[in-house]
Amino acid sequence: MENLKKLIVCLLVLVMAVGLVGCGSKEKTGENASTNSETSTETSTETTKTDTSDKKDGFVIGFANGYFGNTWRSQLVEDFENAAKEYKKDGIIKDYMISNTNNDVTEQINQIITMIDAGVDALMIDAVSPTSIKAVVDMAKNKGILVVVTNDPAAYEGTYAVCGNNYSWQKIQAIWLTEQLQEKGNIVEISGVSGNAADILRQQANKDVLSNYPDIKILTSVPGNWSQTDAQSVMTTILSSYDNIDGVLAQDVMAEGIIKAYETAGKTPTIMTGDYTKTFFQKWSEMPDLNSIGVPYAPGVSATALHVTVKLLQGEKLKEDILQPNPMDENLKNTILTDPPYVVTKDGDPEAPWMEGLVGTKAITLDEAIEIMKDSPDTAALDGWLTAEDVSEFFE
Amino acid sequence: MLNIFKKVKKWSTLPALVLFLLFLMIYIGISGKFTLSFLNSFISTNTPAICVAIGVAATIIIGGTDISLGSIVTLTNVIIVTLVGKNYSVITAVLLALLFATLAGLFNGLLIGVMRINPLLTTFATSTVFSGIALWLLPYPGGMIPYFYSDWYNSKFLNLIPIPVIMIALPLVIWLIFMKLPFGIKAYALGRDVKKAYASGINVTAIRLLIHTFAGFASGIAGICISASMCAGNPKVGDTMSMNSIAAAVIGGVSLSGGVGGVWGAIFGSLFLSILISIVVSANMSSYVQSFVQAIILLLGVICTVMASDKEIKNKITRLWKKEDGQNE
Repeated sequence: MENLKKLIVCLLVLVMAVGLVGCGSKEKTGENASTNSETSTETSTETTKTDTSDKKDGFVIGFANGYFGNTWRSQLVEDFENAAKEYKKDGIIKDYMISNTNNDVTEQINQIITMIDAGVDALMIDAVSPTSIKAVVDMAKNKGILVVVTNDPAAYEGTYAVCGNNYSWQKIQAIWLTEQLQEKGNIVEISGVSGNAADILRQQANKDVLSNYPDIKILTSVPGNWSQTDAQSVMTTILSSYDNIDGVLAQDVMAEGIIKAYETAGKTPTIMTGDYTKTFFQKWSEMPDLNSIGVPYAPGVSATALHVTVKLLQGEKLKEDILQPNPMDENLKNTILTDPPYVVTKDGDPEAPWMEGLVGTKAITLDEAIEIMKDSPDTAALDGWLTAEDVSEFFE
Repeated sequence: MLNIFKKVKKWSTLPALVLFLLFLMIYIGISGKFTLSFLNSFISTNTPAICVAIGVAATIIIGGTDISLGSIVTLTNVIIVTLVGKNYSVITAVLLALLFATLAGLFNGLLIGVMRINPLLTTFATSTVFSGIALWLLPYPGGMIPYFYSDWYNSKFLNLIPIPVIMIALPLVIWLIFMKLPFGIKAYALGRDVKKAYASGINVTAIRLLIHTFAGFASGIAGICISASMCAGNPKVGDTMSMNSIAAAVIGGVSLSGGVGGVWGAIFGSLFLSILISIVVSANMSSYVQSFVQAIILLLGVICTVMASDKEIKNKITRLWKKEDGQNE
């Protein structure tokens, strides 16, 4: 008797809880239940004709994002969502799903199996770690679901990857620096997290460019771990040991730390590579003596990746020379590397030597960059992506 | 006395079980279908979390806790990858890694049982030690385990029972056997009141040593499973597991003050946490409210289970009930 009452109490409380939950998601639930059941019948018929699919619209696309703790990532998700909404309006995408996790491998796999169960046609995955998604990639492939690894590279057979091109991104800045120094001088290099795939590519770009200029001497090269504070302390040490620095070759987020180190040392930087956030551009515009460059590593890569995904779903074929070796595994040629959308300099010269060979990159001035970002939050990155038309250039 | 213990144990699992089944229904309602392949991948994905939850529940039941289990999972994963990279066979690597995980648990047990250092402090420190070793062995995600390992994990034993289920059964069966022995009652008694347990001649040191070793073993199994689903190494893979497993245990009716609850509760608590993720994803909410909604449901879940197992609150509700009964009559 006693136990029965306990049971009833417990159940009542649960019913209340469910009632609450129900209120929260009711409007969505009905809609989804119907769309998803449609999807399920669709996929079951579709698995038999996966490769010869001639479907042009009505796709369901899932985007699993592995980290959601900074402005850059918010922009990444927003860019995807905005592009997906456009497609949804045109009916090309029937529905899209987004999931986020903060570096939780198990949670991300749970999210992805849910999307697979919901019957997505394609999965875009920004994996928590490049090695963590094998199980779900296998599962997706077995069901004939297209997998496009987005933003952070990860190498899996039978998938595509759309990532920012770290090599060309850094190369632009290295060439810019050699030009500003008129091909001779002493520089210091501040790198990112040693051993990280992106950092290895960026350092390689620096090396490849600088090897053509024997008169440019690297005084020292130190990791700043893509951290403002680390870069500041490293730069402070460097400033106290060298007084003949002509230029600083760093990477994005560390620029503000470097400027702070200069300020604390009572000096002003003259030639240094910069960041691409609104705060940096504002700071730069207030420093008339500073000669810098801002090259966005743009979160809009998610929108570009969505355009690629949709075209692949529509059965279009990529041009042969588009796919590059995967940054995580050079034997796997499955990656589309996107060049930065903008290069920001004081004069925004589109004919400058560092602009050579870039696809879809615009040269703009500092003032233009500030104008573009006037409504963005302070920490936002200068953003851009390839449009659907730009992306169709990749296809036959 | 024995009877009461048994009743409490049985009862404490029910809220989590009901909670899980209920939310499974909600998930089926939202997604509009229920497929066997989803159930399969759901279980194989969450086997590691379940194993860790079993381990942590055991340590909480004896009045302690262990926040280093996630790091032991990571360590197991990294050891397997490193050994395979050094041309050991996969089986040797897996068994050695399991041995190291168990030793790591034993190490916790020695510090807590023999040296009598506070379990929270001990495992906080050792978690850094274990993840430090993992980071030292494998600084960046990478490495490679032959794919037949993951095929094995996704296969069925004798074409009948999925391997993940067997992996969950390993620590579970050991625990259930423990509980059938007098050891089980002693463990719960220790969780209820250390001093009384000690005064009644229970070997406190031995129980703590054994239980923490068991927790290490369970985490080793979790590490084996998570390695199988990745076929690679990641020096951060277990970072979030420690706290999630404690949450799972608490939802499962395991009281943080010890002596109450059982591992079944932890298993269903863990499954509840995971189905919650699936619900939030398939409900297709905006990115910015996802974690908020998830947390609110989680909070409600915790409140429900605590209310169901907390005597005082229950008594209050029962009293209310009786009053109403009286009025009706």
